[in-house]
Amino acid sequence: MYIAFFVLMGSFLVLYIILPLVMMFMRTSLSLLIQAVSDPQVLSSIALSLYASAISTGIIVVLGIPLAYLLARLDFRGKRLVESIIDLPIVIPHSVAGIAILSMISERNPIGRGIHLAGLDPVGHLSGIVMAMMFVSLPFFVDSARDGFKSVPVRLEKVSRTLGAPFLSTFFRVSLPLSKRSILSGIIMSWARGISEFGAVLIITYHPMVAPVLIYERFEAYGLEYSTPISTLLIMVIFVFFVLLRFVSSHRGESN
Amino acid sequence: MLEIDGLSVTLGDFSVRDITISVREGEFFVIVGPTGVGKTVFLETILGFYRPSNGRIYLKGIDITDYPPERRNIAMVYQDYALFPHLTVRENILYGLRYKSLQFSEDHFDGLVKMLGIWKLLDRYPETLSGGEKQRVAIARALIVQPEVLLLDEPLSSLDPSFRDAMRREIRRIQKVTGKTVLMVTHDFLDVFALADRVAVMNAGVVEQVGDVGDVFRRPASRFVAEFVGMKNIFLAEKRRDGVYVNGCRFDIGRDVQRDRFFIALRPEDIIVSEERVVSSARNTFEGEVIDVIHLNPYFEVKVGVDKLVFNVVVTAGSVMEMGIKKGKKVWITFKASSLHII
Repeated sequence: MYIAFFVLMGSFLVLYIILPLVMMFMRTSLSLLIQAVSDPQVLSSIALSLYASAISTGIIVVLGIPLAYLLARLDFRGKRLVESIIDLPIVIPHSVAGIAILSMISERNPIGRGIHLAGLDPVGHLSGIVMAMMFVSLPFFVDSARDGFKSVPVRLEKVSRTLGAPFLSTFFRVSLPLSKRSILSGIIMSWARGISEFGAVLIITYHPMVAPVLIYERFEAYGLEYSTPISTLLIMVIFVFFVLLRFVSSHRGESN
Repeated sequence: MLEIDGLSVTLGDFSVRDITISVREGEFFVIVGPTGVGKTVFLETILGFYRPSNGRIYLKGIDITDYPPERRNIAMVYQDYALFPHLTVRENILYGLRYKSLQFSEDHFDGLVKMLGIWKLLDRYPETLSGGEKQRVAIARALIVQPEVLLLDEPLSSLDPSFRDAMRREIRRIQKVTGKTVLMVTHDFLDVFALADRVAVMNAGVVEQVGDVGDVFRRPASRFVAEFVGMKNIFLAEKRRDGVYVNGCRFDIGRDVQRDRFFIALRPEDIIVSEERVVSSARNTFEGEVIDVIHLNPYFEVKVGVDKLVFNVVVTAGSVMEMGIKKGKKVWITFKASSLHII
């Protein structure tokens, strides 16, 4: 009895995700979809989204793995604070994130001048898109990788050390392979999050346009009919990654 | 060989204090004590995972206290074996070889795998192995890097009780064949009898006694050790002008003790039960009443009350039948002064 009630309540939320997407798919006319696929501006914006998010995720992985490992293994004062800081981008509005990054890279302060001296001109460039995406994506990767490292028994790392493997070898031969699945799913989450970012990117880099910005522009200029095909296309791309993520995380259950 | 000198370490709830033991080359040394007294913490300190707050560790005369674990050349077999789940048995065993300046020798590997009887398992993954098989693999993985000392952390306790005896013999055999210096911790005194050359009894983070197994068993140095090694009769004795008294019973202990109060331990099998008073050289004879008879195949444990004292006596099934020992029966108990252990 209670179960039936709970199922009913729960179904609303599931449907609330499925229905809008299905509606959008249904009102996409095939001819407009084909038109969208052959529109170079659409394709380049989707490609830019994928590409920029891949770079952002790459940087996050390189910097995030050591951080995630520290958070999983080390107890230190202020660890909770650090963990809260990492999750901050999830809770702050993305337009605010964009404004905040913009203030950081403004040439009025030393950090901004440093970035310009390094040859980066984020506003209106790929580097700006990557910066915005990194900011919003990194919590997803770091949290997932941290949970992965946490699930590796410390004892296995200890045994490795007693067998003669120094810390780094142990990390690459034991800790990393055993948290591979979590790291992989963190990568996919971070990438998907980057692709879908609108607010922060919009504020830092309106041009070149990433897919969500282009969709917004088409919607403003031409209305719903001309923005749905691009939306559908983008969703299809993201959906592929989402399926991939589910596939990967279901395999994790089997291997442990 | 392995000298531990005044070692103290604290980790959360666990602490060990001022531990001094010296493990000799080629010896099987067992540390025994109840579970949860910090034995694993102690081993991991020897391995280099915890920094001792005090004391030094020497291996072959070299102070290794500040060495990282990978440079100590001490290997460990954990209670849960800690095999790498993403590697096959073969890869597990060969894991540490690349860090040692040892030439990989096909013969050595084959010999080890044959000795442990695991050649059929080489291509399998750990999750498909039984407890005993995992243990053999873990031992092979530790031995192949030719450590100076092999540490064993409760190696038998996670095995099915019916396999324990066999595995105990197996561990003994492996140690004999390889001549390795082994330091093992356990909570089971049976392991000590079956395996140890020498033993240290540990309680609440301190070593209560170190010595040859026979010595510790025959001459426990503290009340805890006595109880732990299975002496069930432990009494608080009082020295008076006319002799030693335990709860009003006068004991002849056959020697002089310089303290006013001390414990006396008596092994249950050192007490003789009879229907009549035995006239013998044994100087302690009391009349009592049987309080309880417990059948502990193949023996009976008989509790005999003498005034307020209760003696635990081990009696064979034959004697129980012969004398008709049952609750309420009057019997005599006799023991030699030399059977009494002063603690």
